[in-house]
Amino acid sequence: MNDIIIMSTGLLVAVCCSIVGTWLVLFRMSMMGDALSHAVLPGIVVAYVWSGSRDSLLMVCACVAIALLMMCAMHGLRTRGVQGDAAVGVLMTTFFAVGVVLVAHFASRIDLDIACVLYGEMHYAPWMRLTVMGIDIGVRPLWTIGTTLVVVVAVISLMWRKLAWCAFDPVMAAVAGVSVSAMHMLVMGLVSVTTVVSFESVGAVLVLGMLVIPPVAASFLTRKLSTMMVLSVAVAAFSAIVGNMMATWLVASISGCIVVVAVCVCGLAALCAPERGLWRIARNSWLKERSV
Amino acid sequence: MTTMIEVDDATVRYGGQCVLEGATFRVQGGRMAAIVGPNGAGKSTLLKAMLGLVRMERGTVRICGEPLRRMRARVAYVPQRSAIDWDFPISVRDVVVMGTYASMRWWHRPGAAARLRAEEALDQVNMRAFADRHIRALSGGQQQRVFLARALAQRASVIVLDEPFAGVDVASEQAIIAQLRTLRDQGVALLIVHHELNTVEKMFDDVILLRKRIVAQGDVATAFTREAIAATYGTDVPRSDIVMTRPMWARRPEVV
Repeated sequence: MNDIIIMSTGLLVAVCCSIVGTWLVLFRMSMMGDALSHAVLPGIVVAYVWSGSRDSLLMVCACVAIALLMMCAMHGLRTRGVQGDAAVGVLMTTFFAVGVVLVAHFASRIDLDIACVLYGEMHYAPWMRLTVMGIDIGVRPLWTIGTTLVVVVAVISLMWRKLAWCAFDPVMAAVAGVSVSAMHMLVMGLVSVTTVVSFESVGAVLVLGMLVIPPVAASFLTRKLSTMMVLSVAVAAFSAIVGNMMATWLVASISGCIVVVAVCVCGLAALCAPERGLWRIARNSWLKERSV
Repeated sequence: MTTMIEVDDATVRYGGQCVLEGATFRVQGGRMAAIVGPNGAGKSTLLKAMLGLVRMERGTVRICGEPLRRMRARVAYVPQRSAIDWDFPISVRDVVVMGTYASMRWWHRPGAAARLRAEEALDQVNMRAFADRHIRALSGGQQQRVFLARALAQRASVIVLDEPFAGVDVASEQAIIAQLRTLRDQGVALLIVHHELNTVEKMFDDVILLRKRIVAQGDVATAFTREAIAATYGTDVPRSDIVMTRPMWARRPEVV
């Protein structure tokens, strides 16, 4: 039973991250996602100290607030002539360092250590219970990540057209009256919520792998948006299941194994993709050479 | 003949510097107007201000007699190539279907009618055969035709194009012009940023000469004079001497 719970936690996290991550990649904001996943740490710590528990709505709100703060700071730096990637570097480390200091400072009051922050821990999922008015209603990670998945799917399917529009041709979208910056904010908001709820399970570093690797693998295999989304979810689900089995077999970190499997799938896609795989490109150029 | 585009006193400042000052002009339905001027004259800024993409310090824009915000669905914009994400996973057909988004409520999905409109638009620019290709697998001219098809699918009354002939081969240029003329004859107002002076008279009905402010405007026959051009480009050389040659990258042969 516990194995099933752990497996489903991994599956939900991976699927949720891959859906949000597809838009993160399409909006070319992957490094922003990395920055966000690190920057939410102070938000998590402050909310934890404040409320005394990890499962509060307050935590999600604090992290979304931190994400917004960071995006404003980002905008401020960039309009003052700091290059985009430099601004990401500055802000990400600033927020993360503040978070690390806070974790150390409040170490006696909160059950959160740096290793957990970095890599997450999925093994304890079955023992994290969610209680509502004193009644145990089930496994907390399943509830939080499941709810997030539903929200993410709902928001993205409602906004699908506008998101595609803004990512592909932001100028035309703006002419038609769509707020491009609102769409950016939406994607970043979804990323920060997903990061927060996946935090305990996969940690701040590996969550980026779950966000970005499946869509990148999918982008090798197709040039159609809806297919890319489906493939991205499929890669994520496959990695979650195989990664979980691998973790049991190797007695290793589950999130680490999931990301390793995802990277392998991505590498395989890069090599063997039907149109743009390395193997195909090499073969084509060899054939061309031979015909000349 | 109705006035489709009315811009009054459009003024834009970037960081204290005035890049566009008091631009006032009209474009009638069934006319093709060129915006011409040297680099940095504010041509693109004028378009962006007109389309509400940059904030104007003062000035008003009316489309078909109404404020822009109520007429957005009737305005199509064919962007400069650099504004597009060419790696986006999207086929030619889906790009054109995007044209129908403008008149759609946000919870609607493009249905069979939208796809039919897209196919028709692709037919009109002779790109039907490429419908399932990725947008990147086309030549510059073909890409420009696809974006024109998107404007057709939108059924706009006003079409604004930012340098549609930059990096376009001759065959595509001809196809685009032919299609633009058809649109003009259907009563659409076309406003085009153009940078080749030697083709202005041949291609356009009206011309707007711009150098931060509008130097001259009106019918090509009366407004596009040697004096006006000299005043715009700041030289007094005869017109035949300031004619620009096609840059190297514009001579790319058609890839079919």
